[in-house]
Amino acid sequence: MTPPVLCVIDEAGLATVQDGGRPSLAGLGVPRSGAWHRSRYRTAAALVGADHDQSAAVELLAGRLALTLRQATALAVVGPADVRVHGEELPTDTALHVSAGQHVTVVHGGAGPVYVTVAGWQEPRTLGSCSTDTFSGIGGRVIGHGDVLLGWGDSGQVGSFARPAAATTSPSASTLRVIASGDADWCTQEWAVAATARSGTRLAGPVREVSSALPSRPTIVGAVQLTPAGEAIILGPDGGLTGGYATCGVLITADLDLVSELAVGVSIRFVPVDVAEASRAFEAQGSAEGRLVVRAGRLGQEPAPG
Amino acid sequence: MLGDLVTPTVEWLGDRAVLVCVADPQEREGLHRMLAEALPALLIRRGLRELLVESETPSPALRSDVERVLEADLVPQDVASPTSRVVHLPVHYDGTDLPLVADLLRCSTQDVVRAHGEQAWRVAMMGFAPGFGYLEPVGASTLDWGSLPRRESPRPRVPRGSVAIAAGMSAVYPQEMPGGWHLIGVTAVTMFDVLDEDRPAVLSPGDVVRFGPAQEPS
Repeated sequence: MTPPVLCVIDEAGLATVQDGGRPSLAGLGVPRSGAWHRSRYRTAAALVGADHDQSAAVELLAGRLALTLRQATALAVVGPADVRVHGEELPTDTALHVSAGQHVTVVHGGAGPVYVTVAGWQEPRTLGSCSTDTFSGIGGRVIGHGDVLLGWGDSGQVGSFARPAAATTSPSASTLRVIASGDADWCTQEWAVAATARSGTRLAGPVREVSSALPSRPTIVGAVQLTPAGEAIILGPDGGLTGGYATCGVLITADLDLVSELAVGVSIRFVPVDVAEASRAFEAQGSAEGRLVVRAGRLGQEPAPG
Repeated sequence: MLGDLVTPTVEWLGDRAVLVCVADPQEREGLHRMLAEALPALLIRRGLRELLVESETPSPALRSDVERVLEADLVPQDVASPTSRVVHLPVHYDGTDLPLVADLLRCSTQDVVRAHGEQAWRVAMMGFAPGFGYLEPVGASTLDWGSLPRRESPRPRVPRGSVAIAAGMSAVYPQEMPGGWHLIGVTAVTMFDVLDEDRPAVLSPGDVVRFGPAQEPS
């Protein structure tokens, strides 16, 4: 049975549908794809009571997202955005009660992706995921004017949380921690962000002697590859699974979200760390996320904020 | 022969993956089976001369876990290779680069077509695009595939189904995409089908591929 219309998209900037992605199909050449900023996505999913990594979210990278509800439900926005429901300014990082007929606008304004989740939204999956792989074209969809989200609204979801302190202990986006491969002298130089995309973030730096004809090797999200033209590319979730450039290091898992927050023109540095430190950073991040999910449970009777 | 065996090197690739560097494809196939059996929770991907062993989360013990498996029994030379699946792909050998390839390999276009069709190819690794298999020659070769370099500049668009060769390997482009290999023909087989949840890709690592001339429509 096809679910009824939950909301209609009136306007959308750079927006796609994402979830946790397709992590188990790498052996067939399928990139993981999925939410670029994992912790924001997971927060947004948890706030509307959704099973994180399986539920759909709109990933807004720039511009506005405007929609009109057709059913009463709960909705959450996580990330740097100005949120208005029927003209009234409301907070991010909290589940909002919305009624049928209400207009919601989300204006992107800050570093990195903004996630919008809607309780009850049902999105078809391709190869186990509704993520939009912008590079290979597999699954998902670009969200635009006139599109609809289908589902059965669920206004019982209300949750909120204060942004956990541990989430801010990571270094700023201008310093990214890496496990270096081989000599780490490339880490010490300054790089400027030249272009950002879900498939990879390009950094400009001094031209270096690197081999241009290496055999293709398997690679991984977060790998930093040096090109003969003097660029470094940090592979993103839609990036390829094999690469023919020299891999000089790989970002630690705890800093992967920071890549999605990089803006063109900013300067960054890499800081080499060891695997033990990388693992501690990841654990710290995980316990912060755990607290958040506990607080975003189904609270039923609580009135809608605002 | 034990003296010739060297434990492969294992290097970190970030905080949740390691690369195992192997000497040759035979060792790669054997080690893949050993590691998959000993460490079933990990995702293992093949490269041409390496295996990428990946854990879902950062794992400081990953490298030593992998090394322990490799050191335990060195490489089992006698592990019987499970029967490889054979995939037959009919090809219309009318690729635009066929004459150039024949020149570079110093033979006729018919020689290239015959040699490509007689060669047994094995899926060494998947990547570049969903369903794209890097095929390495196995057994005897009548042409020196390794002497053929990639094109000097890649094409911005290679048609879907193109059968290509370069750098000692062959491949089929599963979708229209950029590509730097020489195009020698086209197959009508759908190499990747997102609607097929059970088996979206025609090729899997370890499969043997046999190309052959497609029957002309009568």
